[in-house]
Amino acid sequence: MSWDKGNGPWGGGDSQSPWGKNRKTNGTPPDFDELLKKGQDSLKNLFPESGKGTFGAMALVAVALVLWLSTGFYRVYEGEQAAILRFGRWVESIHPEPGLRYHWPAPIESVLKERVETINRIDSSALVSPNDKVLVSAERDQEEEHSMLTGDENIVVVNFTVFWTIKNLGQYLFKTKSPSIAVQASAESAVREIIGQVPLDKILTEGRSDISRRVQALLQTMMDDYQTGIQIREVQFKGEVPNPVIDSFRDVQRARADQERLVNEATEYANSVVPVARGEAEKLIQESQAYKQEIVAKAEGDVGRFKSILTQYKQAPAITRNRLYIETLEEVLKKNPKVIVDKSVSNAGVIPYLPLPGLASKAQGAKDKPTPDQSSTASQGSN
Amino acid sequence: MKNKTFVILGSILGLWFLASQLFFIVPQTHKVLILQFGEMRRVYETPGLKMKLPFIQTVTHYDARLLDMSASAIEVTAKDQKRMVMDTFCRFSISDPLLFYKTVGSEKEARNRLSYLVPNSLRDALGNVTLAQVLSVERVNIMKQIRDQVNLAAKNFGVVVKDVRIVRADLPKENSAAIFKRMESARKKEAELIRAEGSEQAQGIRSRAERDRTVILAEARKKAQISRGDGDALAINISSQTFGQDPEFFVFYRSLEAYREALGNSETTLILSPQSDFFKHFLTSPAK
Repeated sequence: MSWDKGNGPWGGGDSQSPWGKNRKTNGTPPDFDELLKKGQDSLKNLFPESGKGTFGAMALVAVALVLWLSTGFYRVYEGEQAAILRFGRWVESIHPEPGLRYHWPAPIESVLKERVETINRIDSSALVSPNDKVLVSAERDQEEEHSMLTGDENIVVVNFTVFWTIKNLGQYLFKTKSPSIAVQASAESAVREIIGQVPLDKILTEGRSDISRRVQALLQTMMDDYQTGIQIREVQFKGEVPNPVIDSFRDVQRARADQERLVNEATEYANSVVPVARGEAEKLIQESQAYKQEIVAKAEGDVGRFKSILTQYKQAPAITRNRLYIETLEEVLKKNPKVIVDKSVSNAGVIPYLPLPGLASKAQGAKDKPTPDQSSTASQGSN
Repeated sequence: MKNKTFVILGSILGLWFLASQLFFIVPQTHKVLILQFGEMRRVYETPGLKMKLPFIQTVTHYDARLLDMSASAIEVTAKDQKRMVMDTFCRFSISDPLLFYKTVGSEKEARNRLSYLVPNSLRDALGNVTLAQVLSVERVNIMKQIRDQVNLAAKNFGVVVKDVRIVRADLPKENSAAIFKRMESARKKEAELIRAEGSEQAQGIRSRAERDRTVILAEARKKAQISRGDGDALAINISSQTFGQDPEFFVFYRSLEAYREALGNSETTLILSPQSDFFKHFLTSPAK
């Protein structure tokens, strides 16, 4: 044994055993340096390799140990909760607070984390790109995908969104496999179930909030039943008419607009007709009043004239009569063409011949064209 | 010496190997079956670090969680001969790991079994109800019925089905066209009705307006005629009162006026005889 030789690589000493019975002094505390050296010696003796190699191996082991221990660090962010598993078993009593934490490294302990305060969102449109925009090219398939039967056996296209959070970490992590998929499938089932119990027009109009409420209640019941640890925050949905029939639905709206328009037009007409009629009525009445006044005034005028002449007449009847007579004849004869035929002339055998039409046309003068034949019959000319 | 190194390393590795054969972990989400030479020894349903006999005992893991399985596009016919296409979603768990191991062995195989059990039960249940019933609150009962029937069979391979849900219940695509037609014609009727009503109302308003107009004008004409009549009467009254004072003179006077008016338009040819009274002084000189 090398120990016996006493000429070890570190030389010196006539030590007989690794722990050195060779003491320089008796009864005094052992020299620290000596102890260290002896400890080193013994370690070196366990690994009797060349110095550097062993040291390197030890260093490697130490580093590996440190690395392994450091895998136990983990962070809990705000809004997260963590569950510690010790040898696979969930230690319920540990509730790590947010911050930098430590657990025994695997395989002794491990950690599972979830963000419990994030509101997660599930949309019925499966083809949602990361930007949350629906891919337009797949619109046609989308519609078939989201068509549902209504309570009155009609078809409606429904898109919905479910907002949920984790309310129980233990259930969420350990009771159900893939709980977020469970939410999606359950939501679809719940929506279709409720829609299938409501008639079409309610879905499109006033029944919306009721349906949302019912779906949310049903979905929550399912989530609790399966112990998913999920809380449904809100359900939103929108029901639309399928594309093939959308035109006929729009036509109903157009019909309502038409109806209104017809009634408005008629009312406008009525509003114009009646006032116009009243105006005319007023005019008729005013005209008749005017006539009445006119005719009375005329009568009064005539009467007035007569009265004054009557007074004159009464004073001198014969003179007045003659005067009036002569004045009248004067005026009349003055204005008209005359032919004076003496009795004696006619007795002498002259037959008076008067081409009356010709005379008539002569009298008209500038108004008519002169007729060439003055002896023609009464058919010519006009009076 | 090198021997020592190898011995040390070797013994560490050996220890490690022994530990892995002696200890094992049951995770929170698993159930574990211990088999010894193929014979069931123990079932572990609680998680944690457990021990077993090395080498001769083996560990089989099964998922203890609620698992899910869907079946799509199942065609069924309802009692009223209406055909439907359905998607289902069922949730199940492994209740008896030993029975499970003995009968199906793996989750994959269990799913296979369920994937024909569920559609079968679905068809059975749907054959007894009408489409209208599916579209009502009875849907819940139908789903319960399906689940119970599936469980009767699932019991035999250590599986419990928690529920079977109808995710989709739609009519086949061919029927969609018919439904759309029906929806369309219903809307058409509605639109027609609305327009007809509009017409009717408009017509009523117009007629009423016309009637009002007629009445107003008639009233006015009546009043006008009465006025004129009154005027005439007044005039006559005035005239007759005054002219009546001397009717004979009135006739004379009025006749003269008539001559003046009638013959005063320069168009009348008068053929006169000098013997008339007017010319009395014309023919005979005043010297007489």
